[in-house]
Amino acid sequence: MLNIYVLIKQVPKSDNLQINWKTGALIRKNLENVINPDDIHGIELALTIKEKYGGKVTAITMGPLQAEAALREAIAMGADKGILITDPMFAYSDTLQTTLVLKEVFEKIGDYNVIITGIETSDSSTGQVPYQLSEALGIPLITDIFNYEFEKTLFRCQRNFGHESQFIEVNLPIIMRIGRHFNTTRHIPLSRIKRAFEIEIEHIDFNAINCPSEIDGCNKSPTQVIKTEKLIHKRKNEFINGTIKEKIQQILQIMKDHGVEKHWIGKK
Amino acid sequence: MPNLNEYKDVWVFTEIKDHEKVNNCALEILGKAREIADDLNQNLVAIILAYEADKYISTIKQYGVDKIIYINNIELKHYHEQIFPELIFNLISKYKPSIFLFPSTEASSALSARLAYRCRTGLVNNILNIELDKNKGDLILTDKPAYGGIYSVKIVCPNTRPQICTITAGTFQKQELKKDNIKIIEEKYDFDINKINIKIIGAPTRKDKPSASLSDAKFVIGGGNGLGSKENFEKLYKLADLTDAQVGGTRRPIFNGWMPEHLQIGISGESIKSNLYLAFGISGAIQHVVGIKDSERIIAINTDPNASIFKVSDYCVIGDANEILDGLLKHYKVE
Amino acid sequence: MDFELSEKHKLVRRSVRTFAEDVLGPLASIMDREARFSLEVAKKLSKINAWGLQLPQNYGGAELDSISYAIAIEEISRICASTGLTISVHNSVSAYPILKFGSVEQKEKYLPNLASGKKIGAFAWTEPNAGSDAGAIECLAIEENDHFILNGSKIFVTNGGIASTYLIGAKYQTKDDKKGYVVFILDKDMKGFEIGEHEDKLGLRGSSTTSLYFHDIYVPKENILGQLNDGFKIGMHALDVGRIGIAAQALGIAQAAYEHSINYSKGRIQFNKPISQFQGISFKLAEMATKIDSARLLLYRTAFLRDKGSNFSKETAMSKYYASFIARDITQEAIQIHGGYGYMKDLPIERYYRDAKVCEIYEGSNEIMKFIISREILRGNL
Repeated sequence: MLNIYVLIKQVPKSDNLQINWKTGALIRKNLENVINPDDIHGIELALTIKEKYGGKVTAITMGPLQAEAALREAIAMGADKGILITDPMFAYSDTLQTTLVLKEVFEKIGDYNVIITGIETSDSSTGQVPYQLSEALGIPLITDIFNYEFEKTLFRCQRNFGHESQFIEVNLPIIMRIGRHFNTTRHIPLSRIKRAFEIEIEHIDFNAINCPSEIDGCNKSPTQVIKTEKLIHKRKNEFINGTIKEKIQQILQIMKDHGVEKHWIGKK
Repeated sequence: MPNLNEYKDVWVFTEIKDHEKVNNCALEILGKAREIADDLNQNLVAIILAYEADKYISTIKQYGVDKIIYINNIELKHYHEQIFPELIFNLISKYKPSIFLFPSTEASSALSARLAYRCRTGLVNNILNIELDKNKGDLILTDKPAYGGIYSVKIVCPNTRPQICTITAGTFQKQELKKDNIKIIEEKYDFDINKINIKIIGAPTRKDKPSASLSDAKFVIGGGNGLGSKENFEKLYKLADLTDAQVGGTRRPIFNGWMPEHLQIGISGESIKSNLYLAFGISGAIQHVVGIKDSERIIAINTDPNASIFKVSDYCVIGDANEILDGLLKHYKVE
Repeated sequence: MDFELSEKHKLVRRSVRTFAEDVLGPLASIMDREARFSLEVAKKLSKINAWGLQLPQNYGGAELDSISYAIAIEEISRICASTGLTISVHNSVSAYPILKFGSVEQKEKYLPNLASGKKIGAFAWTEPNAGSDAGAIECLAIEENDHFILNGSKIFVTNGGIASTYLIGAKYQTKDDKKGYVVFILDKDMKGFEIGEHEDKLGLRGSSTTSLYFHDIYVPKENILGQLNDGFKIGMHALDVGRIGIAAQALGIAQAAYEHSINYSKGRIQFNKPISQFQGISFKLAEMATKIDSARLLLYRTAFLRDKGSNFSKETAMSKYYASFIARDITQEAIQIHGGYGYMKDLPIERYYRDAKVCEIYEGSNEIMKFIISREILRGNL
């Protein structure tokens, strides 16, 4: 029976973002919030492990009250429980501050066996928390996993690491970081949605954890965003229309214009 | 509050690739780091952790460093997730650098994140640009893509040191410059092997090694998950054969087993500078897009009119990548 | 008054949309081309409980409210209107009437299988000589001892052939010569139950439509839904609910055509600019957006009234009439915006047009909808 925790983040859906150019901040009004795409794969892995080895899956997120929706979605997918870490003191946390809070939360939880994370969030793209949490909790972070198995307090797997593919064995607890290509995520059974909105979400605030003085998201995050700009790629963005044949002809013409010719002696 | 004035010098982690050569991106970073060090009137220091480290020193000397600090040990032949952070953290504690730059390889990204935690400092990864904030001493301004690559955010790390960044390959230019009196310092290897908590069982297998150079190719054909199958992906190689192109791709084909890892284009792979890049069935995740941004022209083929690859392409073709690939193949075969 | 969808409704939309795009997306045009409903799709629909959208959880359903139901049908139809129809008919005019009017035994017998999709449901009222004139049906059940003997035929039965459980409307005649309308629950395996030829349709080709023939079917009295004389009431109530589904279906088709039109007109360059920058096109887009929003608000209000327990006959007729009307209009304009490309089968636009048309016809033609609406308003139900 494994206690599996999956870290998720609620992010703005990235297809129509707008920035307030005066302040450089994201305009959150009318924005659709979703679970960070990588994290859905984390939830899927957590559920798969639970189905195979038994256990309990808890989704954890840190954010404002509205982030409860992400936890409910995780529960609709199959998670047993949701924990929202929320406090004005945690607002504006960067990765280091987030890690410091998560460290306290997991130390309070105590009996965790597996912590699952995605690779990175679609809004800030840092990908740092898994490594930093591994440092903070002093437990191994396993990335690029292929096959894995749990046996009592042991975890074995094949992983790609640097130049090679390794077979490794570690003691629990561990952090597993999972790519979005590792698994195919399940669709939400609609019958779980009702329940997902009836379950009570546990809240953890500043007073609930043994917060050291170094925690203060707004004032003690080492990194500060001072400006946001539209990233400009100077591209033509020309759509090529027509039938398939016409499209192919136009592509061939562009290739020719850029010096692509048939290479007579095919390479081996 | 640490005394920021104690922190001096610009460090670059000159990662050694495959126990073979200095990572090219690290050499590119040295060029930019040299400019910053000159502006600050401080030293540019290269950090090497390697087995037979002296092999690499002569190369690194060519790129404008004032000082090289290295640790030599057989345990450092390849990146290790516990040994490297600890040894380098000890170096940071001892020398107190102001700025520490890393290539954004997998190993260095992991290493820099762990170090930032240990130092309780900030890390900005995959940056697009870096410059000194004028009149603010050693404070650097960094730009990095965010929100799926649609926006660029400017980030500073004003109150903690070192300021750590990782930089994508191809962001800066290599600049050869030989300084006089380069100081070479060897630090000793000191790590308690009992601390290792990941046990390697069985013999590891070597992953595929690069054979051709993607980064120099004039014409690159890229494939993504949209191609749907290994058979379809193979068509890219056929087209590349017929047109003297190089094949590359996103991360997903690697996971699908369609493509070896060294052909990956993007943040943790290669950056291309081709005249033309043809993207088949690639959605356009920022991880890939940063690797193609220096390609002169980009043609993207995708069934999804909203695919973000179209936002960074010159020519956008809404359609089935396979069908178009078949058409192109047919043309070149017949011609 | 709050026009925001709740987090729950948003999650229903997101869940069904993801499912529809992933699973139905690659199959919709194939189902249309091959004119068949895919059993593979049926199995996948089971996994998300699409066969038991509003059935209680103790029968294995999702127990969603009517707004969620409308959203689910809308999202499925946005990708595949044929599947939208199959699901809508199964849920609203087959499973739902059994839940509402069935006996405890009937619920326990039929609902778990319907909720899981193990059995698909259908509803048959229309006959060759009884369309808008619903009272003119000729199927006749004659009482004999403790059972009825049913004879007759039905046409245009959605889910005919793929369904196992059929609600059949018929006239009856008792031993003491009482007459009226009855709804029977029939099983396709009953002796004398014959499934007719598959109809070759203009649109919704991925859904199954057949005729049914009844030859001296022995129908035990336990197969009567509700009371003997409740037939007409049950039929009409089922259609009231069914119209929510059809309105949602039409809305989903319109939404798809609208999204394609926006994308295409932004990308299509003529005279050196995207055609969306020409007023002739942009005004069409503005009209589409307005019509879709109106239809959606009307539909959600209808669903809201139903959940509240209010009478919603007028509103459901309005929703069905308006959504189907704008769906036909918008899909037609979408072809116009796409020009020649819209007319070709490479793009799904022409399919939307073909799929939309029937929404003006079935579940009561729009002329009947206006009849219902006018009857209600003239009665004082303004």
